[in-house]
Amino acid sequence: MTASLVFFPVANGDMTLITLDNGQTILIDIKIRAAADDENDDTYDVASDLKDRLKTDSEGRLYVDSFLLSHPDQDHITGLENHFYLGPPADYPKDSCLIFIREMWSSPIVFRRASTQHVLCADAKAWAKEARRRVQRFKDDKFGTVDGDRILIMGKDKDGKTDDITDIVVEQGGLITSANRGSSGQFTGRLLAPMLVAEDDELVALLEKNNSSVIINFSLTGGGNADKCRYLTGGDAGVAIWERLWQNHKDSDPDWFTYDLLQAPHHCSWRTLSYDRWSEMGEKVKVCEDARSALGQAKFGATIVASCKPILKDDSDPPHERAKREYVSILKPDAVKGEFICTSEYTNANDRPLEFTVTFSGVSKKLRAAAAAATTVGVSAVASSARGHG
Amino acid sequence: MSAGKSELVQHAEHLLRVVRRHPQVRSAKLTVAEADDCRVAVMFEVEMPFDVKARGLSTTGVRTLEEVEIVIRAGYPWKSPTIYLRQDFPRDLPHLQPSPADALPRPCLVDGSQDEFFSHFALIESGIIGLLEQLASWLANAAVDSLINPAQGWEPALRAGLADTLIVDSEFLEEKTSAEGAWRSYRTYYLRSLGKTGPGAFTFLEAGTELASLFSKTDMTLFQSQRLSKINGISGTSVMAFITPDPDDAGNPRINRRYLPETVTNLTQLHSRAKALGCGRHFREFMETLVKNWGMYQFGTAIPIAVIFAARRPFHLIGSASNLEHLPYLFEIYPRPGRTTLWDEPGEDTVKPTRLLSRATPQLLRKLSPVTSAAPTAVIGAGSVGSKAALHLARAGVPVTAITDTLVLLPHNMARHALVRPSLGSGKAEELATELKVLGQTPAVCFEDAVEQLRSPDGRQALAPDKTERVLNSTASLLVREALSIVPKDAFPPRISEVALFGRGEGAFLLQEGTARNPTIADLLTEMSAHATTAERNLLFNPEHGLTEVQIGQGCGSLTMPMTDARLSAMTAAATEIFLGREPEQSSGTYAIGHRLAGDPTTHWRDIVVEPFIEVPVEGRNGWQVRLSPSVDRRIREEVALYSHVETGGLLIGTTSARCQTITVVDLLPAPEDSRRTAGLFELGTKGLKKAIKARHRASGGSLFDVGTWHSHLADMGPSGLDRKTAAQLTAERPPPSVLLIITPDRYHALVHPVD
Repeated sequence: MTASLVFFPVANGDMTLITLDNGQTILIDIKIRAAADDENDDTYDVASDLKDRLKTDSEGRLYVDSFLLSHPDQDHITGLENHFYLGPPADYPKDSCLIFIREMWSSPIVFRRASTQHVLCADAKAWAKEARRRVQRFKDDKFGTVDGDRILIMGKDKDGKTDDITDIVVEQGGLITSANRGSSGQFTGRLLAPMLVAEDDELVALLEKNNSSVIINFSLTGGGNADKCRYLTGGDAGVAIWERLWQNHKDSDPDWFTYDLLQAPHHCSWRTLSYDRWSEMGEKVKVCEDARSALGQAKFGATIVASCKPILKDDSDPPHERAKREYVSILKPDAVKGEFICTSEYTNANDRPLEFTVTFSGVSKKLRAAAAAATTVGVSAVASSARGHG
Repeated sequence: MSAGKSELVQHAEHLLRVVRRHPQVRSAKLTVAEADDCRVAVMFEVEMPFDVKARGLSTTGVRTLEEVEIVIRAGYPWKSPTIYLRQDFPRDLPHLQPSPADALPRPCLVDGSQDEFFSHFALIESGIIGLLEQLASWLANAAVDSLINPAQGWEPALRAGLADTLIVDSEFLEEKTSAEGAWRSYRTYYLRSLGKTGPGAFTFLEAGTELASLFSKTDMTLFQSQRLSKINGISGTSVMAFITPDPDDAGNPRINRRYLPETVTNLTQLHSRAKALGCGRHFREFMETLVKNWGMYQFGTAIPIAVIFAARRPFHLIGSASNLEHLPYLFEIYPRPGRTTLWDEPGEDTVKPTRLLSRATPQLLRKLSPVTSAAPTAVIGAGSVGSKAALHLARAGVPVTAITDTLVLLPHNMARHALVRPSLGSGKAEELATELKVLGQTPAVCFEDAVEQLRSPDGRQALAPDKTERVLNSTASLLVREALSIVPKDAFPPRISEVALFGRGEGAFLLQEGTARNPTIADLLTEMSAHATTAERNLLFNPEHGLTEVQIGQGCGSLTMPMTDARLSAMTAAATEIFLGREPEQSSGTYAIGHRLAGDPTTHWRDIVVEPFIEVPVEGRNGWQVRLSPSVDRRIREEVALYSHVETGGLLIGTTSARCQTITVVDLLPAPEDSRRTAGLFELGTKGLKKAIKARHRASGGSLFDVGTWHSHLADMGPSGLDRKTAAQLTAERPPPSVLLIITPDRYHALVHPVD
């Protein structure tokens, strides 16, 4: 098994599949739109592609070992109920093609009541319900829980809500060392956020707003060798989070931020890098240096992936062209010489998701499978636009 | 299409257009546009790990942007384009085609023929892109040095595309590889094509395992040759020198860690290559001996000489447990009259690396045909089914330890026998053994009757010599089957199987006995007859299909069914495949039965596991036993459980063999409705019973009949007075024995009235 990372093209949204050296899988967020499921629509069929990459267990269920939801926003959880099985493992319907989630990785936000600040879409509600069911299963059975009943909570919740389940809570700064209690040595994941913010913190309001995004710096094993690829992913975490993280850890643990692969947060949004509004200030906006530092620890040859629509020079945000410029500047120095890739642009050009392999030599862009060559030749080109026939 | 442009140039322009579409092609242009040679220069982006890519150059010397040249020549698109790398591309990588140092390096892009790879795509465009995909992957691997990957194994130097071929027994050479350095020469047969010296000329050499002394004046057959006018060639004997390297400076076996590109083209380079591999001293000795030996002789034609250097690699070779790589070369000597050396003329010191092939040894064949069980097998019966099965076994590398058949090959055997022989009259077993020798086998041959042979220790040894683990009976003879079913396991330990065809080759079966010879192959055949499906029964028992005798017990190998060789081969092959796929750990007996669906080449097989039969000694007939199939046992017990307070019973269906002294029970008929069941008595009624027995007999093609009755006793008591009386009545009524089987809570009892 070759370790790999696949960034599915989902326009503005995240959907990433990590396959570990031992073949286990970690799925981070999903955005499976109705258009992608529609066979009469040319939107890339991410669900079929994902299912083709997953393995089937002895009971005939397609499964992911772990599924991390960075935060319960629509562009990170769309398609959950349509494509994933939620509920007790014993009730999994026979001959179903729903994906079985062996272990959930969830933010503690699932324990909070919905409010005006915290509106949940149907898929997010379904996730929260399933997460609560699994937490209860843990309270009942502890480590006797089986595939399909397991859950890890990413970060302590405030008000001691997670105090009675500390065994399945990963604390901020802590390490995740296995997926679905599988073998260790395949990866480590440093949990950087969500942060536990004291009530008297003057920034509490600002930080809370986007604090629910899980930020993890993965270190993946390739060809049996540890730490062959660092992958930093942080959902939609905004500038205040990155700024605070850097301030807190820059002296003690700057290594927590280094990466070979960075998923530009919030679909290459400008609000990740700056407090200034582009709509008001235009080119006069200033970058928040600490946030940039948190996102700027690129290793030699690093790649930054923007999971978003094609990036145009216009006022829309995300993605924002000024943000792209900032990321490109991070990659430009001779000490880095890296590459910036937008998932949608990549897939439009290559007709397949952006994919990387991690081997004993390091991380590299995956060569395409021979089947993809048909597109280069021009198969289906006739169907690429309407053709007049007089 | 512009007029005047040659066809090849038009092809080149099309190629250029396709190449430019490849995502890793940065630029491409047509640099040469001749009528017989067109070249496209390409800048190709190589995928590499992030840090290597940022550096622009890999540690192995591959660049992020590589210059590549795609060449098409006459014959394109019937032939593949050729892809070359830049002149200074690192050559110490495997997967480069052997070539002189001044030629452009050429990567080996596919495993096998590149022309075939290119043309297996229906679209030429796909073929071009396909080659570029191979190139992308080749360069990506070269960049990270994973062309030699310890986990995967050492990649031997590429030789597949070379014109000359050396065939050796790799295992033999492996054995002869000493940790000390040495040279040895082996007698070698060769076949050279003459006439053309360019492409088309080739030499085939096959090295034997017989040492050839270069000093010997007595061996007048060495270095002899004869012209072969038909192919304008020459064949003869020569030598192959096998050279193992001297130990390293520390006195340990020398490990050659470095991959050396295959660039040797003349004897001087061969000497330095030998030196680089630690073989220098012994190669020099060999060459000096060769020259000295030829000092006083002359010869009209050139003589090919083969050399193999053994290189010990730091880890095992791909697909092999061995770490020895054999590097073979070919050169010629010209012992013409009046010479000063053996290589007077320019170019005569040419050296060519050759392809190296392993002889067809069972070890090689096993690698090519992975089978579940390669246990040594003795084959009884070398008729059409046996001969084909034996060849299937031998070709899969299964050692065939012995072949037994009493008959000789006759003209009518040519219809379906595996062997084609112009001169007939020799034994089938002998002829088959001769054929198998070419596959590295040395089977014993037995012309005696298998039934007779099974009676004596020497005979059993002849049928299945020591080390034989399995026996495959293909005689379709009931006598042989029965003899194999009663021979005690300790006297004849191999696991016994039987393959046979029926219904004019429309059907076939494969039986394999259980361990401890229970169920026996005779049990299995009876069980199979009892449980055949309608379609199978129609073929097994329908007289129109011929040779129904096979099933009812008078068949023998001499009866033949009319069918095509193709049909016989199809069924034999499938049955043999099942035989090869049997797990040695499977302790139960099994039978597989297959038949062709009507009007269709589709064959349907059922594979059934049969647990050991229950053996019940028969009172009144010394040495006889009742053999109950597990399913009959189960059904009897179910019925007994149903009638827990009264005796119950029914009719036993099966077969009887006086030779085996067995009554085999494989089915039951229920007690007729006028039967009586009480606590002290079971009375078998008669209503409709005769009809039912006849129907059962007919349905089994006459193979199964009523072999007796069974009934239960509520207490653990053997036959009652009444039982004995009934037994006596039954015996009086017909010559074949009729058994009374009694089931008590503890055990079975069997009773047959003694004959006077």
